[in-house]
Amino acid sequence: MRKLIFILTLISTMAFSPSTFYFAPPDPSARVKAVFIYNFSKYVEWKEANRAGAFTIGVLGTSSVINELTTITTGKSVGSQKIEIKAFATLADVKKCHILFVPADNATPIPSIITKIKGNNTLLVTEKDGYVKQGAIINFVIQSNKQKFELSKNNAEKASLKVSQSLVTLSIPVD
Amino acid sequence: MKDMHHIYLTIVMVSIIACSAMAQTNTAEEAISVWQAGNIEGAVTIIDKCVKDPTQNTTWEVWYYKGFIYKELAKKQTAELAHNTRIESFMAFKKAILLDPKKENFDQDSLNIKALANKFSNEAGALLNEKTYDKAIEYFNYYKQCMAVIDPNNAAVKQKEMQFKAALGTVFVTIFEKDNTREDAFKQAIEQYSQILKIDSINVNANKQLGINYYNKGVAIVEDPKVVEDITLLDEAGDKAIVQYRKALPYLLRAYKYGKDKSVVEGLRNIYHALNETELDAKYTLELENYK
Repeated sequence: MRKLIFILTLISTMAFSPSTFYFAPPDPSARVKAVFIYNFSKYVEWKEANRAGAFTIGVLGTSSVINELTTITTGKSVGSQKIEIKAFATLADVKKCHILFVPADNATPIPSIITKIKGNNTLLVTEKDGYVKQGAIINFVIQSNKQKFELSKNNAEKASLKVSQSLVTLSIPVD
Repeated sequence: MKDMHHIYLTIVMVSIIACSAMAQTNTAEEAISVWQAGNIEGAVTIIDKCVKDPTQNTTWEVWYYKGFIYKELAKKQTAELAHNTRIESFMAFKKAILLDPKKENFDQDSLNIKALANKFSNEAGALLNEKTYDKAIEYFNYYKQCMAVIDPNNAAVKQKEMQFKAALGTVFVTIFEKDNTREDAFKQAIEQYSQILKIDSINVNANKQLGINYYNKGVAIVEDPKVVEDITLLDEAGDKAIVQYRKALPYLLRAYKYGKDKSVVEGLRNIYHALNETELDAKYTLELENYK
């Protein structure tokens, strides 16, 4: 009888293999800026002459905001205007657009940019301290780790843009 | 003639009594013989009678044979039936150990229980997916119970438990990634990795996974389509995202301290970037260059 006791089945042990998860695309700040920029189009009124054709959002230089803007605006429109995202490598490349975003690391002097877009009815969005005082209409700033934006109604008026009161309420007004 | 008849009856009666007595003492062995003859169902019937028989069920042998026969029966059954049969087999071996204070047969009990434990563990691994993870948890618990009986301080069990929880955590993360309304799945994932840290607080993978999950949750909050279309929700979403990024930080810093790799450095860079902490963002961005 004892010999039966030694009959055993050997079973090899299988290891558990967890999948590896990675970080979501690395730049949520770029996403937040892109969401802001896209939404500005809903709170700003452009001149009648600029409410036909494509609605152009331009970015000067390189920025991860370009990818985020492309992602969130694909297939979207402002009124009847289909949104187009354009990247301009240099100031010389900048064409007329409804919104122009200048990332913080772009070294182009702000007065040159303002001169370039003057009369184009363009909402100039920047992200450097003091740029609103130099003529930008909206400037991204960080407050308590959060993305906020300054807004100059005066600069908007100079660019013939009407900014809704709702956007002013959401902003840090500077004038 | 009458006397002859009486003698004949007496012989028959004595034979019946003798056979009956032999059958009672030998049924456990009979069960094994029947099993050896290839009749597993018959062996089960006999051994089930033995374990109900108060004259036999106080010896470890009977319970050992029950465990053995049920273990063999499970091999011939469908996966679902086999599971319960293996549980019964395990319980029988456990009882055999209890009835064997001198540990005469402990080595054999242990070997059999170890085989069952491996089977439970393998089945748990095979069931670790989005649909059957609850069964995987149940099967893995039986693995732990088996090992607790034969080797309660086995360090390999703790190691395996951490591996299981890590794998289970990824199942819950997958569920949440497919449907971000499944907050329960997110909480379960966090729970699994947190339990690993209760066993081993400097476990690099668990710290990293907790960091990744909290960070990704923050990103998901900001990327919510409702937020994209409504600027008034962005501020609140930003606050909620920051809470998640801050939750991620201590875990990633611990992973960085005890086993940094590219993904950990990348995670810290992402978090400080998301928190708009430019100096620390720059520090880890620079360090990330070393991995290129």
